[in-house]
Amino acid sequence: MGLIAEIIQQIIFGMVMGCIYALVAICFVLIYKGTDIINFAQGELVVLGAFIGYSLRVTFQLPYWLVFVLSFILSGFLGMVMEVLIFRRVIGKPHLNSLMASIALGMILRNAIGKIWTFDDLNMPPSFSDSMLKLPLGLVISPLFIGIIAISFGIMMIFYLFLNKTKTGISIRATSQNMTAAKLMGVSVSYVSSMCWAISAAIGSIAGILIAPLLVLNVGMFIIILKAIVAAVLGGFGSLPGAVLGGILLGVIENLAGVYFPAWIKHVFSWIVLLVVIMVMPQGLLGAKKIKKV
Amino acid sequence: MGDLFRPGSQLLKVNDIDTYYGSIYALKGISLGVPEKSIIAVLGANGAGKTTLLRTVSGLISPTKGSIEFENHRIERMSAHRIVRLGISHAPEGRELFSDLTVRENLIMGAYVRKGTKEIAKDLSMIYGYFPILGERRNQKANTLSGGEQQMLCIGRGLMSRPKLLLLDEPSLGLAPLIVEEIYPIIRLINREGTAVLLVEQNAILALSVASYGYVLETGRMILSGNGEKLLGDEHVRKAYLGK
Repeated sequence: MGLIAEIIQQIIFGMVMGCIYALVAICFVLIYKGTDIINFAQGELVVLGAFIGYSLRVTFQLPYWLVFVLSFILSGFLGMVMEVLIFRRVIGKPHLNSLMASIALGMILRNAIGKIWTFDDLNMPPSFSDSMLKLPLGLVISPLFIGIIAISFGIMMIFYLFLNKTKTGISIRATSQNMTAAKLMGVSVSYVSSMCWAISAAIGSIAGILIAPLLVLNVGMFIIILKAIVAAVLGGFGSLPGAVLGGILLGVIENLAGVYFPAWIKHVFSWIVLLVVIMVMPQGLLGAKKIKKV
Repeated sequence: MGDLFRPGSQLLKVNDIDTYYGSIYALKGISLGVPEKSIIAVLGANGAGKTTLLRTVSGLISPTKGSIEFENHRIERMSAHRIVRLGISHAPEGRELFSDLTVRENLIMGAYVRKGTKEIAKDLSMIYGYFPILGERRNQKANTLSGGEQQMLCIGRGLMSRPKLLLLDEPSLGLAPLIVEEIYPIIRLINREGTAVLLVEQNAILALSVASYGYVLETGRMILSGNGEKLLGDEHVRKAYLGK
């Protein structure tokens, strides 16, 4: 394959992974914006969603569109439960509390998932066909790739409309800017917190179901949180558009790196990116300089 | 405090409350009343507890003792977001605007508890009528406004919920006298149109120029209350707050 074609092919792969990083990064940043909590259990929520999807598809043989819908609702509900039981009590407390709580929750979830399903690898049936279609220039793409990109962008668009056009979305944005003022406007901080957790778990589950066929369905998939964090930092921590941009960019440059550098560099690449961003441009691509509180 | 229970219906009644601000015993046995459609002033030096008092009424803090009644509801244990719905609006010290939202978006957030887009749009025009500069800057982000404009936005936003009682915390703080002169007539106007105001001010003369009655706080205790004439004539008040 010529160099141009190789680059385009890697960009295609990169877009696919990038969309997933973007979705998980959005979930992570949403909870941070809405509740000021760093959710280190986000990866486990993604994995949980994927396993739920697996059961709905393989055990109950449901059509995939129903798998997505039910998983979204179920995961959203579980996210809300976690918020009510654990994280509501941590709002407004020092960051360390929520960090510890979410790390602990993550470990508990991982073990629970392993016990309920398995610690072994499972084969996740793909939501779209994963056979490769041949394109000109020797490029290949599968319906699964297209499906992942399309659904991801669909979710991002709906999420954008939700944040800007619905009362709940607006109350989340207001709370993230000034919690005291939001309370004085009549916004229930508990409600905002529940919604952020529910949405993050729900979107996370879709991301998990989409990507599991391409990786391998295993408890260890939770590690994707680390890529999501790099994406969020790259895009500007605390910025939702930044999370999207960072995710897609990370996916693309990660794969492009494989063209020019030896293959092993792909694994380390995101960490190099993280270090460079923190050293050179800590506010990220779209991160605002500290907004003066008025 | 014999003049506490005056005739006329009391919109707000604060009964013997204690409030802690962190570990500081900030309010000690405070009682006051705000009659319907009145302007009542709370005066005192920095640290006297005036802001803590407003924050207790609006529900940001809970008192450890005592009760607060608003129109027959007991509100001392209610959370802030529910108290707004009862008809109390708090324009806080430090303004607490949504810095990244525009003037218009801040005002619309003020109407969060209301339904009815037409009514809300009418009220937006009303606020632009009170404060024309806000109308001019309606699509600018709040953190680009000057101090005086931000204070106007804070008050305007507080009015958007159509409150029966507006808690106003230090509207003149940090503002040039010319700007304060623009804001105070609007406070009077708001009140004439039916909104009661509980006004916290360090500037006693300014506050008493609009308020019919005042309470003086000193280190968490109410030391004096009365109408403007009485307070301005009081020796202690003159020495402590008017520098005479």
